[in-house]
Amino acid sequence: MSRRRAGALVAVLVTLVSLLDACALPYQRRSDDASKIAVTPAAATEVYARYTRVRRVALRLLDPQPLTSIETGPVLAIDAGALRVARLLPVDESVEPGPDLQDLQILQVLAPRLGAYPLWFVAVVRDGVRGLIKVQIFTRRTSVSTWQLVASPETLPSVRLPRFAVDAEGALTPVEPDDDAGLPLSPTAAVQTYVDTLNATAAGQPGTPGPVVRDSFVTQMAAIARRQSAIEGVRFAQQWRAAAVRYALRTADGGALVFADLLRVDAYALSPGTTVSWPAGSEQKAFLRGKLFSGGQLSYLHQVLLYLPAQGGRTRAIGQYGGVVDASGV
Amino acid sequence: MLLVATVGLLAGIAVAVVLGPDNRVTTGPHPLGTDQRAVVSRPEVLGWVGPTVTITAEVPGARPVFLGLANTVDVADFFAGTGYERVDSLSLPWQVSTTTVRGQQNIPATPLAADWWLAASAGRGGAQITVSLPEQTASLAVVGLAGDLRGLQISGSYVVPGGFGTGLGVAVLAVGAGTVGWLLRRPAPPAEVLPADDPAGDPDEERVADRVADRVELPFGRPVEPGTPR
Repeated sequence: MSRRRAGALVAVLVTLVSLLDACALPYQRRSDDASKIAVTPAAATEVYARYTRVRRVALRLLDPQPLTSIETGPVLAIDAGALRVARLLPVDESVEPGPDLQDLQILQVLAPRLGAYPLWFVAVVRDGVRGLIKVQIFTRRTSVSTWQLVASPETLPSVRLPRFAVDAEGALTPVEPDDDAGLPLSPTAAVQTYVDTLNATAAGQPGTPGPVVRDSFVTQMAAIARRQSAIEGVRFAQQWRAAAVRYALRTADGGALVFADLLRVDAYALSPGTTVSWPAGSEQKAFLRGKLFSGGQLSYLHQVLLYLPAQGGRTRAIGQYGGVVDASGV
Repeated sequence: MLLVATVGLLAGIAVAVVLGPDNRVTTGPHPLGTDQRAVVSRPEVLGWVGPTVTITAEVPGARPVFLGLANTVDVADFFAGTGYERVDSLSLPWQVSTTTVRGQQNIPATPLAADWWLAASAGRGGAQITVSLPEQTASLAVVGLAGDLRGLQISGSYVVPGGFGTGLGVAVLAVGAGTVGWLLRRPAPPAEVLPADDPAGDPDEERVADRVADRVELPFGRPVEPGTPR
């Protein structure tokens, strides 16, 4: 091939390659299965900015009403209960709420790929005021509703949060409530076993050996039950119940993180002639006001973050958020 | 080379003529009217990724109309329970099949309030969006903001950014390539045949001359006998 011919060929090739490079060629989509990653990082940041703005107003006013637009379910009940306690307890009016009412910083946002509403995503947030890490779930029930916080268990900074498993697109990989693939128990079974352990230890029994670690949450709740049972003339019973599991995520080590909503009921039955006065500043005092003469009960909600290690490990709580949500008594 | 150049020239001119200076291939307006409140496409209808398309929805009587493109998950949830005309397939230039999905006439909220539209527009008598078709499954939705969509007409155009210029460029390039090719194919000058002044000359020299002459093929005129003196 002559030099001139080779030169012409190179020129044609360069031109063709440049043209092809300049126009991104359309291509057929690989799949028409409807799905989407629930939220983009930018949208999640906007959602969180709105959340902190409204929450700041609620905290300043000690009014749960604004929270109803940004929270739902157990977390709304817990926060509304906390604000009710704060409002009913004596407040030093001379103390102005400080500017550091809240200091929430997003550390990580991850969302699963979902095929239908409700959509949800996870935000790992540092609470600078309380020195805790919140593992929060925001959900959007329908395409016309707003994003609302639905779970907010907290871990101590010393707790090492397992890394979330993500797929090639960076999407979280949810675990179905009854899926026990690679796990010692399915999320639903793990939560039920954990509740069994709480009920057993509250009743002074050793608890189910094996699949659940007697972690600090179990021992704290058992200690409360012991203290209340020790009140003279009072029969105390603590009962635990689990709500259906809705959120569980695969971790990078093959285990799972399960968001468990637990209902705890502390029931007091007083012997005739016995009265109970609640300590000042306690949530019992706020909810039940005066003395208890006959009996009563306080309902609590606890959002517990359970870690299920891969096959062979034992379930344990690594975070929780809870409080009193209801009370009755005479 | 000449063949390639000819094809390139024709293709370049064809692209430039089809797209025109506005770089668009347009189809429509086509009737897609319905007594339903909305027209929604299945994800298969917009199965291509990457092209920039402009879609126009027009309704008679300056009635307010909304046009939007969003992920199919969002669109499906928005119209769940609502009656609408579903576009099941579309092949160009314009062959469309639809199914009427029965449901309530009301939509759950104004589509203008949703934050998940990839592209959206609303107007009286018509609306238009220009959007690059996304990788995610997407559905197109036309909503009558004040009632049904009788008389709806849809137009679509496929925008090839710089396509007109590229077509002309390819044509010009093809002309250039053709010229180069023609020049390269021009006949070479006849090879100089060695004179045989001395027929009884060096036999080795004669064989060389024979070989050279053997390889010379003259395009015009009578072939020269190898080794034959002129």
